[in-house]
Amino acid sequence: MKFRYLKFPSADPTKKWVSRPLIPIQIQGPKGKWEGYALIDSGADRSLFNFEIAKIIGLDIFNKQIEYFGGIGGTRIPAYLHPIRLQILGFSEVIETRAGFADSPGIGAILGQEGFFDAYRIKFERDRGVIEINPATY
Amino acid sequence: MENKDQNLEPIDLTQELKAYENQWVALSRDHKRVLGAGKTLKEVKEKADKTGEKYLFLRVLPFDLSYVPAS
Repeated sequence: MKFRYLKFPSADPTKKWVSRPLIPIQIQGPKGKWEGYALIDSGADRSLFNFEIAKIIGLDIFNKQIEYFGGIGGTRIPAYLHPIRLQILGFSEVIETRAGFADSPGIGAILGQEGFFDAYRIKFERDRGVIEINPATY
Repeated sequence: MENKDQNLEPIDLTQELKAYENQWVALSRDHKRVLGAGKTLKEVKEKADKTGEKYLFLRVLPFDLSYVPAS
């Protein structure tokens, strides 16, 4: 299945937009579901979501294991790990994986290697503005 | 969503999202309208649900940053 990149506004005077590979997903929880766009990030070890999403779907994350996420800035962001049920909208299958939930304004929804890239074959075609995703075959 | 119409161009949200930097938004399924926006998903959901339309949430990041997750 193919998905189109999303173009976001940019403050860079030399280019008015930035393209990012986000796809529509659903995360299911005990009190509801969250449907929204998630960034496919091949550089992320694991999927990571904003706290706000856990609140909306009723996940009790605070008694869960904490894992620290870090990147080029050297900052360590604590995230609570919780099992989730995740579906790409348009796909029939639901995958079960563990994801982090963090209180950071810079995080919306990020799909990372463990659990997500394990489950799908993902082809980035930025030059064509398309991401192609198919279930992984073993 | 899926590229059934063979349109390979990226979905252009540059105009729709201009006013919503650093906020959550509820975007209509045709990507043409923001049905709700705010600092919390709860308030965005309340606004968007009132429209009766289907939508997708999206976190709009600062426009002046080149984004590297978890940095």
